Amino acid sequence: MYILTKLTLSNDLDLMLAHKRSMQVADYGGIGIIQQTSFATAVSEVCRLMLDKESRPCMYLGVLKSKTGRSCVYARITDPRVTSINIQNPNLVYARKLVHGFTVEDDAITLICEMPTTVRLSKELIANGQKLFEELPAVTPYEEAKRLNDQLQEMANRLGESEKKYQVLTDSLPLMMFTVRSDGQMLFANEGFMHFAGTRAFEQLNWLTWLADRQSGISISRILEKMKTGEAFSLEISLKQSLDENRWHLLSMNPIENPLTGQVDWSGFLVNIHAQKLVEETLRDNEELRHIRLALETRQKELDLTVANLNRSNQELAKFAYVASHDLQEPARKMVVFSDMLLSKYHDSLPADGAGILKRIKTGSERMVAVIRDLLDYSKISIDRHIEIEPVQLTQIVQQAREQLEAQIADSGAEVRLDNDLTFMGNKQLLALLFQNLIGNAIKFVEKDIRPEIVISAQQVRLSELKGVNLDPNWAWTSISVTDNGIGFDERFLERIFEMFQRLHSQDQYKGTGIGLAICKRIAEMHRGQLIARSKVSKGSVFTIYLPNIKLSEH
Amino acid sequence: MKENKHIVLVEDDDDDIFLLKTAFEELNMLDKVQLFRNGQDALVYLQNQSEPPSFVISDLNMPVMNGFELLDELLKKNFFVNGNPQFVFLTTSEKSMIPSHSFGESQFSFFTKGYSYNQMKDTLSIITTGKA
Repeated sequence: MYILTKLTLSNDLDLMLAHKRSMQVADYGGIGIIQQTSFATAVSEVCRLMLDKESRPCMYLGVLKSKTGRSCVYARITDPRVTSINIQNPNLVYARKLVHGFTVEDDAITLICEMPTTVRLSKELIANGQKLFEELPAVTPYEEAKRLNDQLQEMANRLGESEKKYQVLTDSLPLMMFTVRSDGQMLFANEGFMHFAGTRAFEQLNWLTWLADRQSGISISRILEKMKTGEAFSLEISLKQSLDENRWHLLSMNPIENPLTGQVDWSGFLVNIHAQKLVEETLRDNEELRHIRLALETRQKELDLTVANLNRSNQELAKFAYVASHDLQEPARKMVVFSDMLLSKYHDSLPADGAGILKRIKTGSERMVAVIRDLLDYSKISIDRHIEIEPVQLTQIVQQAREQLEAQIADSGAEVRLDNDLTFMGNKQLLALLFQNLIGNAIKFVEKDIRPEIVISAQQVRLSELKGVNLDPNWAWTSISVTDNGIGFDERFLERIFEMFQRLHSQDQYKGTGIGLAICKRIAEMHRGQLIARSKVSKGSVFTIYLPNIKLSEH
Repeated sequence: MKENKHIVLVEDDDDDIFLLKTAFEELNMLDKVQLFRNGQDALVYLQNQSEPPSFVISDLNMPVMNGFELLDELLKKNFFVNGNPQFVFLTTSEKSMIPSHSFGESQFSFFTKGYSYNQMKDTLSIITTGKA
């Protein structure tokens, strides 16, 4: 048995349909018009009997091969109540006579009508028949309405199912999905979007306005431009999540043509790619940092090398100056000694102008010795940056300087007075050299026939005093000042007097090498202190050295 | 103070030797002076003397054995008896050039050669007689 079509019977109108379909199936089987009518009449008689039993029988129409090998069309009406039908019913008897075969089973009655012998029951015949009856146009408005209604109902069911699945699916995705019209009107939004937007009434939102408000980083016009092309695109944009928190998102938009309006709508999604973006940024920053660090290290190495070279060259220079001046000292001293010896031993036998020349030799040699001695001092303090610091007593230092200046003090009759004693941190030798130079200057730079008066005083410095001299207020400071009654100087030359070989007077006025104060300044700096001068022409000078009361760690 | 003052002079510089000899001559003491050109020579001489001299007047910087080393050797050999001989450094260098803590202040005297002949003669007079 091969079913070509089936029909559910529910009322009398369906009987007409059963008749019509039976006719059509018989016709397809190549059966003549008279035989068709007989078959259709027999089928509709049986169907009517079944319907009277108030059940809903089902009718199958199809083709089969009989036991004798004959191709036939058949109608099989199934109904569980077949047994209650009276076989002797005249209508049934009548129907039986109209067909070639009539079989009654417990739940079905089958009617058979033989096809012409020329018709072969091929696969094509069956398949084409099934297709034909499936596409068979409606025979009545009722049938059409019923068919469409059935289809519609099924589609509605399926759509409902599918929509529900889609909503569940999109809602469960960790991204924002939406469909918008080109003008921004929203047509669909998933739970993710509504959550992010903070509203369930997405229909009231214009997606473009919403985006313009939320995004930062790229201009909304760029998105509009992309949409104008009508092609799918994706962009990385930063969206405001809360008041001051921006999160990077990937916006992906796909155009879909709306079959109703003929316009292009956009289906898109936004996915949070902030973490990925952060990792990217961090990696990039790290890379940059590594480059910078490498560059810094390289620079540091170069710098270290330069400093080392500079130090070495400075040390070599200082050593050279030391050796040169040390070796120059002896021959220069000999020139002084021998010219002195010649002058004192043979003064009487020398002609007056000869003695004058000899005195010039002696003066020149003495100056040479002085320069060499000062250079030697300066190079000594330049060679070694490391200085020993210990508690020193001012009295001791000044006494040491005084001893060195014994002859000058005696010759000038200078008064060197120490106002008060104080113990502080410093290097004995260097500070003695410093005071020797300061006191020596005070004795040297006086008006003719004036007795030099030098007052030395020391005190702990108060913080308030530090402002003018720019000293570190975190350290305790000692200041020691040397005040004289000398010729003083114009403070315009404040900078210059501490520079190497700089002098304010000619040799015939006041002898000197221009090194002494440079030595003093250097000594102050080696103590991390400062040497400050105050003076007025003809009003004397005050030199003050500031020393930190700390044990210096070197460098 | 002994009448017969013996002086050991240790000096390598010809000019200074000339100056010192001239000064000693003027002080009438040249015949008491024994000259050595370095510390080593002086040390050998001193060790072979039955009687120590009154003074050892030594320069600081010398070849072979310098002034410190000479003093150091003499101290090690317990050469000094009752502060004799008197050990004197006579040099152009500063006192600060003597290595600190090497010697006690009492073990030597220190004089600079100075910048004039007369000053040097006075210095020698002070060393040997206690007066200029």
